[in-house]
Amino acid sequence: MSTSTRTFSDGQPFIGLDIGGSCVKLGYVPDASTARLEHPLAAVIRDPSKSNCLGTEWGAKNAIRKLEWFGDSEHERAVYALWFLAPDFIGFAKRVKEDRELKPTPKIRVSATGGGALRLRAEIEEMLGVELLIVDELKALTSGWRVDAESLAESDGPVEYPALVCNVGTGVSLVSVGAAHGEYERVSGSGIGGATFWGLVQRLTLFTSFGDAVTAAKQSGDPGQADTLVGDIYGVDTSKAIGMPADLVAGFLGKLSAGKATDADVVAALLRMVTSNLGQLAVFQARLMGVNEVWFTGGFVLCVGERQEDSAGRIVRMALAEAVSFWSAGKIQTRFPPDALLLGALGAVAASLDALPQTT
Amino acid sequence: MMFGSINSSGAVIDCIAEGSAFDIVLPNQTERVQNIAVDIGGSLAKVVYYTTATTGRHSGGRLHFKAFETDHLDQCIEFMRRLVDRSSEPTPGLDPVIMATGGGAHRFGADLRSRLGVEIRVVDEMESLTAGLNFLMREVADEVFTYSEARGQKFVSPVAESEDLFPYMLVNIGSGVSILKVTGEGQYERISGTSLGGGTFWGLLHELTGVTSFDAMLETTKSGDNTKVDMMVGDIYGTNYDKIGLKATNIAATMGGVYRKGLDKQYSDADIARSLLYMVSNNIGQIAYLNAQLHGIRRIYFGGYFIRGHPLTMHTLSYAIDFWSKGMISALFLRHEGFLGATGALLRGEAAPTRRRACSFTENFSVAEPAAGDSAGVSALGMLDQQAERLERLPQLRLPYVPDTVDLAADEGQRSAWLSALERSTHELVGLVERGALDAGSSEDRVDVGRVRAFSTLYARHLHRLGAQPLAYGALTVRGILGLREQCLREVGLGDVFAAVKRRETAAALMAFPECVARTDGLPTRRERVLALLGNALAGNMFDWGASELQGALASGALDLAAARERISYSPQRLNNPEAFADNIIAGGYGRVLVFVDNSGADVVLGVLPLARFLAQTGATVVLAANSRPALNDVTEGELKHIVGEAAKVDKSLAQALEEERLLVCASGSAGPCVDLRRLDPRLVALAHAADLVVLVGMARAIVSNYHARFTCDSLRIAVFKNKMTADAAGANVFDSLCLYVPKDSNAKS
Repeated sequence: MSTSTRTFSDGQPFIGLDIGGSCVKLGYVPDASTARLEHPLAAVIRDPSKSNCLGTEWGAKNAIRKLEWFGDSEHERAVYALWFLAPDFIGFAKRVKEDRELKPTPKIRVSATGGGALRLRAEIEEMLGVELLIVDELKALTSGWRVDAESLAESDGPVEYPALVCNVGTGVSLVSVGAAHGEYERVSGSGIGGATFWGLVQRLTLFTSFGDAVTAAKQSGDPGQADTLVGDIYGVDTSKAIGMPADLVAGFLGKLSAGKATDADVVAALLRMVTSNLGQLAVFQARLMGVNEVWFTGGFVLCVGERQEDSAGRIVRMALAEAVSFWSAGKIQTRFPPDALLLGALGAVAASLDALPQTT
Repeated sequence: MMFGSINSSGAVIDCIAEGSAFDIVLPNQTERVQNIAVDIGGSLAKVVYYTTATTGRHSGGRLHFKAFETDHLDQCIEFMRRLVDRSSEPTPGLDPVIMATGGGAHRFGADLRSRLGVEIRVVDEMESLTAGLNFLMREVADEVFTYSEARGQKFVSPVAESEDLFPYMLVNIGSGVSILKVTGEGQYERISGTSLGGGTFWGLLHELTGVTSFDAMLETTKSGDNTKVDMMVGDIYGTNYDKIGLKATNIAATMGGVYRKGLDKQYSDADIARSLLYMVSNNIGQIAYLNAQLHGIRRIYFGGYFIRGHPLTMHTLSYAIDFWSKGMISALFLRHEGFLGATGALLRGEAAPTRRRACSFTENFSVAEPAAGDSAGVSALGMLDQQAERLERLPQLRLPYVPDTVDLAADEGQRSAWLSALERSTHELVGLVERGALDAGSSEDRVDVGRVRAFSTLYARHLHRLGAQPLAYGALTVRGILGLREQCLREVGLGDVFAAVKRRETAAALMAFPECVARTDGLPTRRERVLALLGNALAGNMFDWGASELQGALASGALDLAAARERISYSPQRLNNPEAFADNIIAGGYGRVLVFVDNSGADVVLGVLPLARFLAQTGATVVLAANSRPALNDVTEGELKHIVGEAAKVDKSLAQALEEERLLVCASGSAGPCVDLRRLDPRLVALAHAADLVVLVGMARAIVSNYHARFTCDSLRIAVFKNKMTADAAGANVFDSLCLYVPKDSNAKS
């Protein structure tokens, strides 16, 4: 039996954009045909092996990241990704626009997902000189997750299906992903997510960088200075007498107005509130689904190739794993796909592959 | 809004504006305080106490509810000190005890002990909450309700059987949130909780806005717009995300809009307050729903100081439960929500009222207080009066049963008509008393004009409050406001204002009794006799001092039975089938008949009694159920026993029926003009078991209540539409008649 081979019959590149509320992710499959394109977007991402890639120069936050791609059985490919903070992406798009004004090029088609792909469609199409093929956000997320999670199978053990994927970006979606490709359902969600954490950090402290805030919280923050503890209500002795740990949290941030909490304490308490709540929702949902592991993805988990022990992402992941362990009494495992932030972009690329006409 | 309380003289009304210092003088200083419990929470201290009195305005026991700000704990302690002073003589060897629960029970325990000089026994908080909730759900008629902004408060009919109460989940929202699963009496488990609760709301809001009082914060949320600080689904997608059922107006991320320059959100403190309220409520609703799913529970009650009857909070919790359960589950709220812990602690005491004997309570609103101790709440709470017996359901009642015909909360026209009619009739009562129309001549019978005026002021104030806030006392029904009228009369020390009138009219009617029965006995056929007796029963029902339209004729003596019979039209046709009843009697007859009687005087003597006499002659045992306590000119059990005895002296047939115990008089358990067939005196229920016919006499018992009641046996309703509201509700005219026989197998709703 012959396998299907996808070709660049119309010369369109494999580029996927995930335009989220806080950051924009771009994934692409380098290809000979991409190399031939004169479009500046293709130029930006051309030759990703170069360390000083044009994308980084134009505002992309992260170094080029290479992922093995399993989407095509005949041609194993690598997918490369860049990501931007939302305002930086606007700068990037302006650069692309200026470039196209100097040297007009025909439009290319790009797969796009995320809220911004819908909301800002016209502006992005105009600035980048592209035509956006909209891919459903959860479809992109789950197909990207599938690729990424399966890449762990060899080292970390197989993926259980149905899988519970908690995507924590601006807001939170809890998605049940089935074993079959394209099978997924949003089963729950929450408005208490990354943006709530960051919005409150901004309103309550002087921190301006997510990484600095989270790192400071880890290093010197004591959430007990901001949270109302059982000991604050009953007194330490009575707490002991009635068999409740005095340092157990009774009310998150209930002691804020006492004014004793430093900025680092406040961030630590906010992080504990948001991650504890996420862990609790995830554990309940996992129990309802009868599964033993939960996956966390999305910008809040910040796993974009960071591997340093003290990175902000690592701190958030630890907190989430701790919350899941607490609410499940250690019975449910927490897993993170290696490239949590980029799943939407990966999924969008996958969709652009799927969209190609198949030839035998 | 004004709240009343009555001082010990009983005749003078003391009005106090809400929010001012409350009157600590209790309505009845002769009451003995038997049990006291206190629940000291983070913001409110709640006191529940139980009193007994053998004389005066009520007999038996009474539960009282009182809330104080924890910041003013001294007031609360002073209040309890007075209660302790009024408590019973201590039993030798048994020290007086105050039951205490809540976080503050530990913290302030030593203080209470030293200042009150009594033992303080601390009861576990969760145990108190569940015990209190179980008790209140069983004993308070309108305890449980659902809430949404669109539909308002909807009361959920109480569950009669204990097994229906369980299992349920109680989500108690204080500083933190505890989720309890309750599977039976005393059987509960804390299955989950979250620390993202009232404390978080308070802490964040205070820090972000500087607002310092809880009430001010709740007030702030009312005008806030959360979309100015939250990131909405529409902010992200520009539109709905239909595929996963998210609307553009759904919240994507709480507080997610405050730092996004592109969104350019301008916001105020009120917006932040609303956003945080939504965050906390939505999250609690979601966690509660997930727990309910995991434990297979369908009933979720919400309690705790975070709610405090605050409409927006309840709306948000309801919305969250409705959203996550896709409309399958409704969030349930409680009128006594703040008092669950204190009530439960009281019941855990050794001499608790429910330990001594099984009993039923009736809520008495004559002295009502706002439930949350502030203006934010939607409910007011009365006292709970204990009956001597546990009231029971009529065995022949088909379920579901709703005693009331009209929901006055939903029907604005009926509501304003009834409220103003009752206020008018209250003024008329004052007029009657002032003219001496209710006196019998002797000075000891004289109705105290001062007390009647006091009653009039008190009752009018309740009517005004219900006009402004129809659901303040639970579901608003004619039965409820007529019952409240009697409660107010008793509370000012007017036990039975119509006593002399009733005696006078009964004596007159008894004189006419022999001639009346002779006339029907003389009719040639049984069928004609039945029809004549039904006609007399309808005519007798015209004699009602509760009907303003008839008071003039009654007071002048212009109305006699023959004249009243002239007015009976047997219309509308659909509500009158006396021939069908007559045919049925001729065909078979009944073994045991239960008759709920109405007015004293001509009604019961010349209308009901001859009909009962006839039924007894056919071989039936007839049980006459009369009010346990006075209401308007309704005949009471004691009066009816006297009437039957007097009539038997002049009528052999009656005497024989009495002797053979085929004519019985029993108390109904009711203390108002309407009757709730779920709450009957157990002695009556015992007599009613074999009944194959239930007869309801009079507008209040057959139309205003029980118009839609269905029975597993035959039923007969006999009444006259004596006011416009009732006639309108049934599509009839004033003075139309209701003489409706419904066979047991009939599916037709009357």
